[in-house]
Amino acid sequence: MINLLIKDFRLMFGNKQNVSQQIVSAVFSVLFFVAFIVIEVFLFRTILKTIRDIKYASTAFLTLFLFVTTILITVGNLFQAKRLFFDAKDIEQLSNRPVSNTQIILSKLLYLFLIHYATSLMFEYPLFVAYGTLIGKMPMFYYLCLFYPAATFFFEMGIALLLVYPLWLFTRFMKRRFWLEMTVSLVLICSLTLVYSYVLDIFIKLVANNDMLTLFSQQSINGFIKFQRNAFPVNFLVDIFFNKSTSALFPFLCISLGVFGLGLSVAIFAFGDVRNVSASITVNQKPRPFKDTPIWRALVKKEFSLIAKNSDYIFSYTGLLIAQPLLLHFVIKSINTVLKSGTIQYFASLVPGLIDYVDILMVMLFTVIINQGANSYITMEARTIKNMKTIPVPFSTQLFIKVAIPFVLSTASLLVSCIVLWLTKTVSFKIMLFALLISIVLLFVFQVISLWEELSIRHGKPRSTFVSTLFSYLLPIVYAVTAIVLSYTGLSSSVTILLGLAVIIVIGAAPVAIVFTRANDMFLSLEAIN
Amino acid sequence: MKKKNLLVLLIIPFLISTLTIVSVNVAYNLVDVDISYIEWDYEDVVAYQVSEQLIPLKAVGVNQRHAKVSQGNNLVWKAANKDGTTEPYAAVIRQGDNYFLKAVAEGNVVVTCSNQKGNVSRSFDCIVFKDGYISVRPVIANSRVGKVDDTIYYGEYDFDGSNAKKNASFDIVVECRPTSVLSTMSQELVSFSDTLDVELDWKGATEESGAMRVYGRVNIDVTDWINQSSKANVTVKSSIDTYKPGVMDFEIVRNGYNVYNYQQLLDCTNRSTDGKIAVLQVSFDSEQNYAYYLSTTKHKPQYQNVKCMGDLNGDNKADFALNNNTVVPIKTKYNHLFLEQWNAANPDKKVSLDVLTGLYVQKDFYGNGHTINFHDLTYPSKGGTVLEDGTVSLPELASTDLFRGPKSFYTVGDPSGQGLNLLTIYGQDNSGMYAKGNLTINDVVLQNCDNDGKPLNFLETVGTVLEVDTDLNDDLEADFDAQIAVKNCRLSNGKNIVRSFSSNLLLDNCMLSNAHNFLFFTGSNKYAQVDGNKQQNILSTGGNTTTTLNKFLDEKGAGNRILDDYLSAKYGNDRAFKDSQQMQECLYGLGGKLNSFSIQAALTTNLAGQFKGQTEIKDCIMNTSGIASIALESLFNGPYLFNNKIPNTISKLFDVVENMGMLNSFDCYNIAGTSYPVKVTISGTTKFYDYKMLDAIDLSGLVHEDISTFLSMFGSLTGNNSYNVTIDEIFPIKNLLGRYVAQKGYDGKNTQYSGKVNIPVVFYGGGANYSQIEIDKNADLFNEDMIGLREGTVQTSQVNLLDRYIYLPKVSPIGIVQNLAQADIDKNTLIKTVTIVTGYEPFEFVFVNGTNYYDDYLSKQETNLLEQLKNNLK
Repeated sequence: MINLLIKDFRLMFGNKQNVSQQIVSAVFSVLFFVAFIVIEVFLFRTILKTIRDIKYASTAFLTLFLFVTTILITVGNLFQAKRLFFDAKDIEQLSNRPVSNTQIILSKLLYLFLIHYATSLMFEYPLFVAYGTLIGKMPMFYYLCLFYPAATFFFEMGIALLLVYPLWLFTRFMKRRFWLEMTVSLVLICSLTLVYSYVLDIFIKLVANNDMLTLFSQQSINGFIKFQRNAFPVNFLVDIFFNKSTSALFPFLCISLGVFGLGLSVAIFAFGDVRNVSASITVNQKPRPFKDTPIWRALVKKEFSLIAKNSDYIFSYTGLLIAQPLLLHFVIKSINTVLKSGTIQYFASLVPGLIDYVDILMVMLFTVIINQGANSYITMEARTIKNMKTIPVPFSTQLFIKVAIPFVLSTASLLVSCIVLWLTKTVSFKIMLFALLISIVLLFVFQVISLWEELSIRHGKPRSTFVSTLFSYLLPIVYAVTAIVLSYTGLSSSVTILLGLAVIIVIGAAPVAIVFTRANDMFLSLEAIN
Repeated sequence: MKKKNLLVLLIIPFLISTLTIVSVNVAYNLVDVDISYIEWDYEDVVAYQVSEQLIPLKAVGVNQRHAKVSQGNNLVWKAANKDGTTEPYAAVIRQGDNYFLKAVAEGNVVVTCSNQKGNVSRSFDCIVFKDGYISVRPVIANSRVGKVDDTIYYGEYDFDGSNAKKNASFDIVVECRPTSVLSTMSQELVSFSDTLDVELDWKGATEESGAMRVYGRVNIDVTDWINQSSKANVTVKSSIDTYKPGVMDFEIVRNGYNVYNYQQLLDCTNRSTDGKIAVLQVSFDSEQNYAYYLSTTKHKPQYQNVKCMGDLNGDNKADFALNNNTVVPIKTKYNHLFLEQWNAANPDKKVSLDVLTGLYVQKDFYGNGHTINFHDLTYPSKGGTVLEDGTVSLPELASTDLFRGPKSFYTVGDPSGQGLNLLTIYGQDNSGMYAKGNLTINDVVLQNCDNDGKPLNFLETVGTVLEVDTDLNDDLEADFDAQIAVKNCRLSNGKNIVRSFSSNLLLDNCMLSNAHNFLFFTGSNKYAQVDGNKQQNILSTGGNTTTTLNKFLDEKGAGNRILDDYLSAKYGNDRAFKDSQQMQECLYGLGGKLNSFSIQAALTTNLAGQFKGQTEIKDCIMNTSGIASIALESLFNGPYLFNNKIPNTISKLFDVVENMGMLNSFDCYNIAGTSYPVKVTISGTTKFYDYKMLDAIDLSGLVHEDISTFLSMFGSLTGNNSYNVTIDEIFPIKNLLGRYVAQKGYDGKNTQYSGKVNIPVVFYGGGANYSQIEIDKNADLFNEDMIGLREGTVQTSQVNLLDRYIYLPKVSPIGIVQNLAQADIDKNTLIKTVTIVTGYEPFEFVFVNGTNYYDDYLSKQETNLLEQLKNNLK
């Protein structure tokens, strides 16, 4: 059982990253988590401080926050369960071992419980602490709240298990239909972008425009209080944990255990079903007639299909390219609003052009970070590296096309984004041009460095992305700091931005020169995998 | 990994906004919304029998428009004996969040309910009786919000149907409880002053709420006047001695007219050539509040004590117009040289020299605790409406609104409102009540607009609440034989609350609250104009030179070049001065100390000690201002006001802008000078409940500026967003004040006012300010722990704007303007223009030591109404 549990942890957390990647990854995870918690608690405390005098409003808002957390955690649980129950490799390995279905299911449930508890505790306990300190709760309250995540497990996991099989069937169905998958993914990404913009807009209104009072009218607060009555299961749990209501305990247990029982039945059935059929997807492709195509065209087509037809890339690259103009518009608009609000506007005005520099910085960061989704030029080939090395096409042509496709796609998205920013008057025409120019230069430097890292892969070890990640953050920040310092000395914004660009070129020149001179040797040293 | 990067990126805007807003801590204090009034079901007089039983006290704090009010608005109850004795007749007992009254011993008490801040309160009289009681009171009740002066006043006269005078009379009610007491009373047991005749309708006695009531009438006829007022009383006894007699004491005001409606109010004030003594017997509220009163009152129409302010024809609608005495125009006495020069040069765009007032008072005014609310005259009629979600839209001036903000003292641009004006320095404002003469205003509640907890910047155009004027012969100096005494009043909701220029004023036991700028604003209308022909020694480009200002500040004079270089921050061998320090010496002096050879010194006339007005502020309560409680004003007096054709940079810019049809650049000459000083004495137990976040100080009411609009126009042309500026960048006072607060610990650390500052006094800068604040030696307010004292006066913290402006760097030029004007113009050039208009004298602020002031003083606070009642008994 313990072995099974360890195997599940390896399946979910084991990765092929090297130490530097793991460190960077961990740093980002911690950063994200801390930032999320800071914002969550700040928002929660701010609202609570404003509305706590209104009867029932405090618990209504706590319920609202917990309900949102419940939805997010349930969605998280769903994807965890899908990967845990339906990983093809895992199923294949387990099918050769003398382990019963019951043991497997139990180990997976134990794993899911532990993960659910840890995640819920991380996101929900800060809310309890904030609530308790503001309302003035006794120490017993904080102790009791440790059990809240455990109590939510049955309902939230029950819903996740109920949906896990339909989700698996749906994704399996989509894998065979490229355009459908593409369309659904795009709709999903665009919807999430709009939701993001909506949330961001409310947040900015709340904190930057001092709209707290106007946002929370008696009417809207009454609405939240009404909502509280229907926010199952949180309303029951709040009653049980905060109001010490025993009457809510029985219906809550019945509904939660009922949902969990149903979900578990579906998961057990699905797991058994999937175990008994081949997990591999066989696609009946019709033989295509041979066509004599020019080499460069064939290579472009191949690279394009590698990027566009892989479902992982659709979410981490292709879809984001399409959403980039919207995302950039919302983010930059919000940051501009913040920098032009209240007293911060005075401090911002001490550095002429500060808002412009920050806008350009955001364009640069978004461009390179989205481009990270398509910078595995060699890795994505996997077993076909030997083909690259053996086909009678010059390495320079192959590498050029590999780098050029994402470069062109990212640049196109960047261009559209900049035009959108200009048309919506988020940035001026001049700043749009500068942002475009600097981001293209940065993108080029970044891609060349990524290629260098790809060509340096040896002995089957994973690629080190340390330098490229460093460059993707450090170079834009170096540019912004340079621009701000120069601007403070009284230089005009155009000169400042151009000098910032010069700094990027100087720093990026060395790795670019290295790649151009040593690419041949590095390509030849690449190891083919059989 | 890649997705995590994206997540971090997406969370950045949340993080930036959280961190920036938390770090500058501007959140929500800008809109510090209080309750508007207190709603309850109590009659004006309530009677309770002595008992061990606790009587629940119930009231609700109502906010007319906003759903949520700020901290400090929970209701608290207090009771005080009416006769000032300390052994309580009734005690207020708190149990959790609930309050109860315990009737302890026979006597009369005032029960007051207020919010914790104490700026909104209401009271009722309570009779505590043992076996039974008899009370006598007017049928038309006194003020709904409670009287400060315990005395009830009646005028000698009433207006008859044709607005002629007749001897006054009023209805009274005698109430007794239990009902059996009635049988022990009779006409023979009624006694009254010989100036009165009292008739009671014993046969028509009715039972109401467990008490018997007998209605009657009091007729006043005073034939032998000894004093200005005559004391009178009506006493009704029982044949059984255990029932305490009912007594109604009041004073009859000689030549006073009782005011029961708006027509009569106008007859005593705006319509009267010399004025009549007014004695209010009803309140005058806004149309909206009056409608609410009508829908809730239980009183018959003839006994209602609230009327609509401005209702001329009895249709319950407020009417105000310039041609029917509902509004009185008064020619401004403040410096209006600029407007005169403008009107002479622009006959088609003349600007009126009149300020407006809603009530022009020339004789004594007795309020009896009643309210006059000028809302429908002063408040913008558009906007301010309640939206579906319960929020309120910003108020907006309609074309027909009469109150549109203060007159211009000087405008860079067009003062007529028909074109762009870069900067307007304010002169005199309109007022709700304008009092001129040698008179007393007693126990009246004045407010320029509804008390609906609006943010202070909504008060931008509502005017001053009360303007006083004792300059009787209009020579711009206070007539020292005359004084206006404002006693026992509550004044609130104005751009400034009380304004006294070239006047003698006594503010005694008043509460001033909710001002966009200042609660008390004083200065002098008289000033010494700059002498442009006088030979003076001025520091110039080549050292000191003897010249006249006419020559020095001429287009060909050295001053033109110096100011040009100052605006464009240019120093060096080929410039007026080598460095900014020399420039600062030339403009004003270093470190906030006036260099006697500077341009500012040349523009100044020494008027120290030549006071043209004085004010005593005694036992007052200063509550919530946008900037400071008391402001001592002086004229702005920059070189640009002496000759606005220089410096070249600005005149070229205006030529361009004028050619573009955006702004009328008007040449004026020598319009400012040095204000004569005034003296303010603080005495008694004057208190300052004026804590605010430094960031919440709103300077936008000091001057009107369109520099930000102007810059943003060019910003949008050139696509440079950095041209957006705010008043805080133009007047960086907050930032400079922040240093003092941080260095000297002026904020209310460890108190409920943590992080907030309390600024009792500000001295205007720009031009020289010779006014003084004096502390009475017996004042129970200032000591060195609370406010730094300096030789009998207060210690000030200087805010020298020039220190900040002189180091403003040169920034990106406004290319399009630079090319058109052929002058070196950037954003900071325009910002610095403010100083060449205002002058370079530092502003001076007086702070209280936040923590000590609270611990030693405010922590012992009562509700404010009770504080006033206590002061009244002194």
